[in-house]
Amino acid sequence: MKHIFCTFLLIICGVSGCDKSLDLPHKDRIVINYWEMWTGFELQAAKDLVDKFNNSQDEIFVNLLSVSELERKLLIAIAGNDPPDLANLQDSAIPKFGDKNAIEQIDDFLPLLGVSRQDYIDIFWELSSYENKLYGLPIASTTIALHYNQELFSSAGFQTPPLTLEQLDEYAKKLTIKTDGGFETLGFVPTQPGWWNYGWVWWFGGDWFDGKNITANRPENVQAFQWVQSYAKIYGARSLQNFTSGFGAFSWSDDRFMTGKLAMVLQGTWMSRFISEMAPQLNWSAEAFPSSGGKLKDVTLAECNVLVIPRGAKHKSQALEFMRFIQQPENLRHIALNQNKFVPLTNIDEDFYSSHPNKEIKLFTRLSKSPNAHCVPRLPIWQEYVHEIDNAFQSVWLEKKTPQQALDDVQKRIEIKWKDYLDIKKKLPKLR
Amino acid sequence: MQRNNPTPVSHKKQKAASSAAVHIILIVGAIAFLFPLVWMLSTALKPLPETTRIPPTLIPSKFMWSNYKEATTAIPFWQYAKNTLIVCSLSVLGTLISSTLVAYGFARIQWKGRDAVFYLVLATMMIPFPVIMAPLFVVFGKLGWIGTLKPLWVPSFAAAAFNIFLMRQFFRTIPAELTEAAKIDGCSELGILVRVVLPLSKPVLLVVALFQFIASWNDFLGPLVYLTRQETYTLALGLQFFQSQHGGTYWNYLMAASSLIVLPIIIIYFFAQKAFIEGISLTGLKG
Amino acid sequence: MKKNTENLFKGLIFISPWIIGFAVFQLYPIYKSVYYSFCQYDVLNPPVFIGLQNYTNLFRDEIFLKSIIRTGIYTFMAIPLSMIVSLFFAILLNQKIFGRGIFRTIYFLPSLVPMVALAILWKWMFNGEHGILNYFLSLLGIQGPNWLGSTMWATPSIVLTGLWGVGGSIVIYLAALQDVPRSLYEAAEIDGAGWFSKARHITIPMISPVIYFNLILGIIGCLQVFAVPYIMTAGGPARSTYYYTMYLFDNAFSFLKMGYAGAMAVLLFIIILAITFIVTKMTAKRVYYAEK
Repeated sequence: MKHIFCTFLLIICGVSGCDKSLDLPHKDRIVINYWEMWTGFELQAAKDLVDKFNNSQDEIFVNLLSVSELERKLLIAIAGNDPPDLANLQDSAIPKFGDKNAIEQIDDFLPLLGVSRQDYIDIFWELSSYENKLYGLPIASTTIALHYNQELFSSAGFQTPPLTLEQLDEYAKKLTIKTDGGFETLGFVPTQPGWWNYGWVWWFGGDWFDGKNITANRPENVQAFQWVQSYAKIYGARSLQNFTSGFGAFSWSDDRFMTGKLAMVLQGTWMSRFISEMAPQLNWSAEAFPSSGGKLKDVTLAECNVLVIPRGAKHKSQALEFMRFIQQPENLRHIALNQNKFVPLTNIDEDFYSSHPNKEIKLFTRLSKSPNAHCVPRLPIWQEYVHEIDNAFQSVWLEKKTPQQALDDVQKRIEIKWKDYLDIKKKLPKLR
Repeated sequence: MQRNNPTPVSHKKQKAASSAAVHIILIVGAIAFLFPLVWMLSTALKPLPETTRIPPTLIPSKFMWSNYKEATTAIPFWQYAKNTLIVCSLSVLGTLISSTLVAYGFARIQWKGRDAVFYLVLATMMIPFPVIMAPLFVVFGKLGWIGTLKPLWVPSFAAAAFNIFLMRQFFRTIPAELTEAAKIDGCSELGILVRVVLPLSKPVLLVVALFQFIASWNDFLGPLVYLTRQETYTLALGLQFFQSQHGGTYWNYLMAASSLIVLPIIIIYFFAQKAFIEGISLTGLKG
Repeated sequence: MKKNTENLFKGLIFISPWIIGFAVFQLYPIYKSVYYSFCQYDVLNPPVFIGLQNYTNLFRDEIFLKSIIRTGIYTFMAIPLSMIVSLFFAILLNQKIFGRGIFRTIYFLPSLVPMVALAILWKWMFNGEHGILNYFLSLLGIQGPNWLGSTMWATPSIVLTGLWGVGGSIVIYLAALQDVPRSLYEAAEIDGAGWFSKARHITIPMISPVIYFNLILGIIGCLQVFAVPYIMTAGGPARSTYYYTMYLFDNAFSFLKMGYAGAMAVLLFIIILAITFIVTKMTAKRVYYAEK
């Protein structure tokens, strides 16, 4: 018996003994933890800046951690009262976190951070806020646009990219080459890459939320879903499914646009990086994705990462210090250049565009300033909403429901959730 | 044997044949049971391109021992191993202390309502962890334990029903004369437990310690829920993390890391085989 | 009288670790689960009482209802299969044969493999493109499915993965089998009973308490299945392996809907109690308890 106990005591002493060595290299500094959602080259860009910051002074040490499933883990860490001091969130998470009061409001620290609203492109400032409260500052920013294969275009005799959605449909028909069982090449398909199934309504003038009410089944949305279904009807959802290797499944190595099998696709700023890595010979170009009837100009979706301070962070002022550092234009530029995105600032010199790896970066930046630049609805229940939309999209695509039916169902379900949410919110004691 | 066996010879033949059949079935089964482990080791030692080669090779063309080095540096493997050992050893310690005390209270002291309470103890085995994990998270959060290893080992200091049961069964087999004698000598109950009962109970202590060790070593849901900081991850969680980040490609590293997690348990098994089999057999005999 | 009080006091002192643990780590959380189930609670803000709304929402929540069905299907596949396989091998291993110890070790070893390693290993073997299983099938001229990527095969794959770890039950059955008196078999042999009839009329009834016990534990385990599907498929494809506990976990720790998770926890507890009760009733006549 004694042996067993002694062994355990030894093990415990042994293992806890080396515990201290962990923090030694920067023991005289305040260590702040910074959670990053990215991996790979995108993480490296953040790492460069962290190193630069750590070397620039000797009071704060930023400990950068790449965290998988960041949103979920961050929420738990905050709830468990053990959050990091900084985290990089996707803009779509801001309403949810802000609504739960899980991240710190930073309006009062703007002078300290040395920034003001005018410095930023409007939409990215909005993406960092919820209900007029600022919860963080935008970092790398993106928009999406039509990417098209110039070789396929010229061999089909098209000189210019399509100017209206109807023209795009025409192009798509002409670019499509059928084989017996499937397709040799396809002009366009609204299920690729499948990341913004909710987005198509914007090109029809629709939206999901009007600031007060859920508007899932408004006529423009129905129209957009009819347009989606028209592709399934013309080309056959089943045979398209084989062509696009399944619903929702996506891998860069399989991407049909890069292999020259898909002539047009809606993609973001990062696309050029993957093209240059995996299909450097591809002759591509980008233009604003055309709207229905060409009525709306420069419609796009804007997205960005937002650097936030979680509630309960232990080193708030040090976290702000690092935030201030990141927001310096040259540092924002470094991230943008290395993550293949653009900076959320209104003023940026020509030099940035000329040194950017994406030749179309000016287009993407222009789109973000357009009045028709959209963002994901600022709803705390967006996660549930988008799930319902994806379901509706799928049943419309597989022609199991009419667009009207599918969207009516979404409307019905989400309206209940929205009402529940508002009811409960009324009952909550006012904390903020 | 009073009846006439028709033909003893053919009976024997039949027996031999059936024994051969049993062997064949068992061998086929054994191959099926053993193969995944062999495949794990085989993949762990292959160079990456060879892992996806068709036809697959069982014995790597080149033994890549460096895979182990890669796997243990791609994640802070030894840090995770250390965390796991801390959790395991503290849990074992907690389990041994608490369940001996409690089992003694149930086995060797006569008190009113004892059996009723004991049934309650047994009934708590029905409470599944998923039912209580969320409120426990809230409790641990309020205690400031989230982000530390405490949620994983502190509860073991509150004896678990099954261990109490095992030990109680064992303690009851110790002759009363031994403890009575000690009592007459003026020994307290605690003294009897430590001086008389425990020295006789090594086998059951070993079983309980082993099972607790393995349970802590293998636990996945607990760490997943309560460990929010990467530096406190246990091996099980760390491996899953590695898998989710690099899964689908570096199968050789994944298998190398996996085999490192399996190995200690298998070594322990070979050292304490008897205790294992006895312990598991006991699990089934509660019914 | 005094002696009685003293003993009661002593007994309670000795079992106090359990009392405290039971109160803090079991009773209180269960109470909280029930309490939260009537609230909207996200940990970050104080709970708001909303009556039965979580429960009514649950019963119109498609994901929840489907997760129950899926978990049921999984249980119905896994339980009989593991029972048959483990009993089958236990009976074989119970015979006096050459190399019994080695066989027993081999069958037992996989059950020692930690859940995470087990899931990752089988994820590799089930890999649609490079997995060894599909290679074996291709040798037989069968084009194997993309196991974990297909809504049809994902659940059977997970069942099969679990089956690899039946070693524990084999050992339990073996121990029980060794307690069956030899004389019963000898008597049966004299009556000319064959292998099957011996198993049917002697072995199974004699070890029925152990079978019953394993059945209950197996069902409870299946209803809580989490780690293996979480690691192998993360609930996919198209939620085909999104079982009860995974949805509970997500509600609690991905969406911080502690109230909703609480309602699910309460229902899970009730389901488990009900199933235990039903199985006990159903098997009561068939379980044979030898006088001990």
